[in-house]
Amino acid sequence: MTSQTSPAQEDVLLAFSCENDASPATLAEYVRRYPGYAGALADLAVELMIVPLREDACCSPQDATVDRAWETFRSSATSLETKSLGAAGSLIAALPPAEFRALAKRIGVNTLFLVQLRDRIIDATTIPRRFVELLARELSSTVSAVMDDLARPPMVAASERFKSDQKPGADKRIAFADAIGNSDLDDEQQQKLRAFMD
Amino acid sequence: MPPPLTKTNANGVRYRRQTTVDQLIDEVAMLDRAALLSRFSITNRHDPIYLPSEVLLHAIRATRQDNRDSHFEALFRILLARVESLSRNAISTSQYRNVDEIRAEIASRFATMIAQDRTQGGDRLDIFEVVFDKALAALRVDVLRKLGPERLRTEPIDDANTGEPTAAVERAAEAFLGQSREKFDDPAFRSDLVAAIDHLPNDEKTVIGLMLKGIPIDGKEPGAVTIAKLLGCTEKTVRNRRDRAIFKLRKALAGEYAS
Repeated sequence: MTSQTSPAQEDVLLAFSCENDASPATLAEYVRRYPGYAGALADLAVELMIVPLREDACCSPQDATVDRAWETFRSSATSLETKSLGAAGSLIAALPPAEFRALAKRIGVNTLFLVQLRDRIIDATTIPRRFVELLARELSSTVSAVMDDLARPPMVAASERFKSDQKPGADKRIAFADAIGNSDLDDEQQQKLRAFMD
Repeated sequence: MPPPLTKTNANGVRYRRQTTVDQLIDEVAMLDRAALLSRFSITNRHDPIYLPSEVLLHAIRATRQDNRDSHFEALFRILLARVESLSRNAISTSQYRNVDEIRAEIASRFATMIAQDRTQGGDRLDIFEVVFDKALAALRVDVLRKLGPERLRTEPIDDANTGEPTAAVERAAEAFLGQSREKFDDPAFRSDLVAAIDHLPNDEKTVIGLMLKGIPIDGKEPGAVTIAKLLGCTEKTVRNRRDRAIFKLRKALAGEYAS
């Protein structure tokens, strides 16, 4: 899911559930913004009024429904881990050019910045966790797999491999904050990236 | 203080936990695992040491930082039991044929969100740390609108097919709603009324709920919020739903407020 697409019904309902002011005016504003979800929003407005008034039921942590939910969790987590393991080591580099550019757009950077991430020129220890999480989601991978990938030694261009007597790599790394300032990013892109460092 | 949430609302403002939740998160950070599980196992909300689900969810998300899988599973199970309890309350067997399917879908959707949070991070669960029960209500409504059509047919009532509501029905409806608003602070009445409303078919429940929120059925002003506009149906349809609902509510609460 990307921020460019219209939000899913679930996301709109979750946002509405968090509104402090559940007045008819707030409901009307949501319906104006998301007319396709008017019925669901009306249902939720009523639910939110009733939820605090319901009596508590009881369910054991060993209940069969909880067992099934646990199995769902395990299979979802395993599936996500397996998917990322399959692509380990080549998460960004494996992308075809069009998808590479699309990824840059989705995460709000230019291709120069993404190249520096791909080639591990940006020091992984300086990359904010929330940015890694964003990458993991956009790559349909996991945080641990992306972190492992970004932490490997920098890639060295073929043309540079034989030019130096020194061991290539470690000294070429730059901090995430420096990469923001040195990658020809526009002001808005820089601002959004710096927000990950808060 | 626990780390702040990162999800922002449509205006770019970060969501914030309730102050009491932040305080409780700090308080339980001092407990060992056994004591923590014991506290989270308390299900009675009126117990003075009950911990709300917002705190429990935070504890679950915090286990991403360590490898104590058995501890994570124990916390997960307690939270999912709470999710199931809320579903059992909200989704009545008298309303839907497929209640088990609906409840299982809600639990499954929530379990998948936790799996994504644990493996990919992200801020999708942040809202649940702010208003857990209400966020779960949002998930429930989303699932119900996708899986809920197998509703049971409810018994027919006298006025179901009469077209325009009669003046007597109108008066009864107004008396019922006026009286219910006055009595809404009475816990016994409130509990009975909520249970009765929960047993209504969803379209009738929504109309009654919106009326109790003070939203008019219709209105002349172009920008006015009305139930007919919200639900995209005619005023007559709304009135019919209201009348059917009130007939059932009066029957369910017979004697309490016959007018």
